[in-house]
Amino acid sequence: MDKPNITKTVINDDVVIIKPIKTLDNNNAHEMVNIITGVQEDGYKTIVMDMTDLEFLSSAGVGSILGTIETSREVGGDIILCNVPESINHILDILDLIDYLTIRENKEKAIAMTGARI
Amino acid sequence: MMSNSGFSHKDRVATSYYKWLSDEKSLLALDALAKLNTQFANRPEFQLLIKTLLLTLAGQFSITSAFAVLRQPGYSDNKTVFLATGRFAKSRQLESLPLTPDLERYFVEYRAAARITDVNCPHSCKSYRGILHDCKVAIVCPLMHNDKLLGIIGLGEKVAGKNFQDKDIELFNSLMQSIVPLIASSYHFWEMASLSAWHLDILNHVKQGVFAFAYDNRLKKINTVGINIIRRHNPDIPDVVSMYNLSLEEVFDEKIFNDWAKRLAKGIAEHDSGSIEGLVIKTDGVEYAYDVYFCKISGDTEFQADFIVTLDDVTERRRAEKQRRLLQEKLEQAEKMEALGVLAGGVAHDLNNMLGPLVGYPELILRKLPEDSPVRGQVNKIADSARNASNVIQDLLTLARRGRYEMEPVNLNKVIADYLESPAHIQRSKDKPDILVEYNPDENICNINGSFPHLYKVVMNLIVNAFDAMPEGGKLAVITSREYLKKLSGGYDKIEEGNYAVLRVRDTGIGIEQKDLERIFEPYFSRKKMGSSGSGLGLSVVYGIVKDHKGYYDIFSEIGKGTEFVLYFPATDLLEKAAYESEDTFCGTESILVVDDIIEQREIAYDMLSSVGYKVVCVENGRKAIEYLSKNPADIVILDMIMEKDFDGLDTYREIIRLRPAQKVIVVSGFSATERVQEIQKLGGCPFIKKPFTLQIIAKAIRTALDNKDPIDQPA
Repeated sequence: MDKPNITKTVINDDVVIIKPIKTLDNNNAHEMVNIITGVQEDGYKTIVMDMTDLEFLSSAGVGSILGTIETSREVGGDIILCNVPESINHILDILDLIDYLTIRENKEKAIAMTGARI
Repeated sequence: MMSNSGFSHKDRVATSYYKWLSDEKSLLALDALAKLNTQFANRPEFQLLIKTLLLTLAGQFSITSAFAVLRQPGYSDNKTVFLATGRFAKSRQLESLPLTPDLERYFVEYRAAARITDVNCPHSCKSYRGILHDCKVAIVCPLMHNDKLLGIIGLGEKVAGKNFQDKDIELFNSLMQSIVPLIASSYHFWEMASLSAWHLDILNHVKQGVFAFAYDNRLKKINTVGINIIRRHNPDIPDVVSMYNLSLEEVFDEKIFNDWAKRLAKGIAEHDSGSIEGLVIKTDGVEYAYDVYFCKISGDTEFQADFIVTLDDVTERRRAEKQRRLLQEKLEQAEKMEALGVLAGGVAHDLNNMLGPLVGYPELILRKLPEDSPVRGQVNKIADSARNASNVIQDLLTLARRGRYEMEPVNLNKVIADYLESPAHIQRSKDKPDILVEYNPDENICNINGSFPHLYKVVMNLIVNAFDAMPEGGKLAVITSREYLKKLSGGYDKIEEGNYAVLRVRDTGIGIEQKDLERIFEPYFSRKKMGSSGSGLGLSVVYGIVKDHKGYYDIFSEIGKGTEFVLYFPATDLLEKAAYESEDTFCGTESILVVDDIIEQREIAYDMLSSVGYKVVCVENGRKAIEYLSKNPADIVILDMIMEKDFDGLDTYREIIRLRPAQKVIVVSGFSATERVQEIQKLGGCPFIKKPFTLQIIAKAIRTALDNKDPIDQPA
C-alpha cells in the first residue's frame, strides 16, 4: 500500500495550508491529527485544508478534522476546507457536516477569508 | 435502559444490521468497520486500534470528542488507560474514571450503548454518571467480552447542537457489537505482550543470572544478569540472540568455566534440584565467586523448558565475609592480647617478687667473695639469668602495656653490640655458618632517649628475621649512623626534621613481596611457615617499640635480592648514665623502714641495705608501718605499692604523711608506674623504683633522697 501523504505549507504567522493526498482514512487519520495539533501548538490560528488531490475520505478522516477543529475555533481561527471534490462533499453531506464545516470553493477564497495572501 | 422498544438485546442487533442496508450513512459505517478489521486483524496494536476507532466514531456520528477508558492488562487492580480525541483529551475527570466492580456488574446486565440520561445504576455508578454528564458525554458504551468489562467508550455531543437519534444509538451499538471481537483479540494480544514484557522485566531485575534450558539441553531463555555474567568471563559472546540454542556445555565453556557444565549435567541427571556453592572463576586477575542452583521445572508449557540454572554472584559477599572474618580474628587477637596483658601483669608481680633474691643476692655474694674466687663466674651467670628473666617479664608487660617504658639516654651501638655478643646470637651464627654478619657502627652516633631492653628486642627481632630470610646463606649487614633527615627515601613513614640515630639491618635473602610490605607489622602476619620460628609478634613489637620511641622506619625489599629495614630514632643531647657508681655513693647509716608483704623481698632489702651500713627495720603491711612510725622515726621508708587490697601503698602513704608530713618515702613496685603510683608521686614527689632492683639502684635512690635537704612537695 502506498503510504498516504500529507503536505504542509505555511502562508503567514496565522495561516497554514494542509493538503491530504489521495486518501484520508484509518491509515493516516492519526498523522493528520498530529499535524493539525502540531500547527495549532505552533500558534497557527487558521488551517486551510486543500482537498484537491483527495480521492477518499473515511469516517476516521472526518474524525481527524472534527477532533481538532474546536481547538482552532476556540482561539478565533478555523479549519477551512477548500477544493472539495464531489465524492468527498457527498460524504460530508451524508454525515450532515456541510453546515458545520467552513468550506470554500478554492484555496484563494479560503485564504482570503483569513485576510492573508498567497 | 432502552426499555421503550421492547426488543431483547440480540433482536436489536439483528434489526440494526437489516436497517443498515437501506441507509447510506450506515453503509459508510459498515465500510469503516471493514477497514478497521482489515487494518488491525493482522496488526493488533491495541491502543492504535482504539484511537482509530475513536476517530471513526467521531466522523461517523459527527462529534468532535470521544474517549475510551480501558483496563490496563497485567494488573490485578483497577489501573486504567485513557485515550481520547477532541476536548475530551484534556479532561482530567474522564482520565481518572475508575472501572469499578459495580460498573462491571451493571454492564454485564445492560451491555449496550445508551444515552447518559438512560444510565441508571446504583452506588458508584451514580457519581460515574454525574461525571459523564458534567463532561458533556452524550453516549456511553461498554466494551464487553466474555462477561468481562474491557473498558468504556464515550461519545460527546453532536456538532451544531444536534441530538443523537435512536437510530444513531442503534448504529453505534451495532458497530460496537461488530468490532468487539477484534477489540477483544487485540486486547488479549496487548495483555499478553504486556504480561510478557512484565515477566521479562521481573526476570531481568532478579539479582541472579537465570538460564532456562529446554529438554534438549539448549538455552531458551536468559536474563540480563545472566548475559552479563557470561560476557564478564567470555567477551567473545556477540549478543543475546547468539546464545539461544547453545548447549549447556557451550554456555558454560569448559575453557572458562572449568567443569561447571559437567557438574551441572550430573546434578540435573541425578536430582530434581540442587546447588553447587562457592564456584570460583579467575578473570583478568580477579576472582569471582558464584553459588549455582539448578532445578527441573514442569516442562508442560509449549516452550518445553526442562530445567533452569541460576548463578548468584557472591563475590562481594564472600569478600565482605572474608573481611569480617579477618576483623573478627583481629578482634579475637586483640582480646587475647588484652587477656595476656592482664595475665602477664598479674604474673609479673609474683615473678618479680620471686626474682628479687635472684637479682639481688648475687650482688651481695660477689661483694663478699674474694676477687679470685672460682665461683664468681657461676654467681655472675645466676645474675645474668635473673636479669634475662626479668627482661622477659618486661617483654610481657611491653605487649600488655605498650609505651610505659622507663626512658633514659641510650647508645644504639651498645645495644647492638650487646645483642651480637649474646649467647643466643653466637649460637645462631654457629648454626648458620653460611651467613656472614657484618657490623659497621658509627662511633659518632647520637644517643637516643629509649629503653635499652626494648631496643635490644628490636635489634634481636630484625637480626633473627634476617637470618630466617636467608635459608641458603648470605650476608647480613648491621649499620648505624648519625644522620640529619628531612624525609624518608622509602616513603613508608613521614618524618620530623632533625638529627637521628639510624639503624640499618640489611640481608641478601628471599625478599618480601610488595603487597605484603604494608602488612608485615600486623600481629601474626607472617610469610614464614607456621612453627618455623618466632611468635608472629616480632615485627609488631618492633613497630610498637619504634613508634613508642617516636621513631620512624623505611623498608626496601626486592624478591630474590633481599630486604633492608631502616629505623630512625630521634637524637637526644643527654648522656648515658655511668655504668657503675662509686661504692661511696650508696653507703649510709640512717634508719630505713621497709614495708613489703613478701617475706623474700623484706629479707633481700634488709640484707642489701644492712650490708652498706643502714639500720633497717622491716614490716609486712601498711598498718604495721603506721604503727611503727607512730612510735619510732625513720629517715626514709621503702614502700611497696601492691599489698593488701584495702590498704595498699597509696593508702599507707596518705597515712604516713598525715602522721609525719616531712617523711621521705621511696615507692617500689613490680608493676610499671600505675595510676596509684602516680597519685603518690603527685602527693609527695616520691621517687619510684621498679622491682626487682639491684643494690646499686635502690641505694643510690636512698642516698639521693636522704641527701636532698629540702625535699620538694612534701606536705606541711
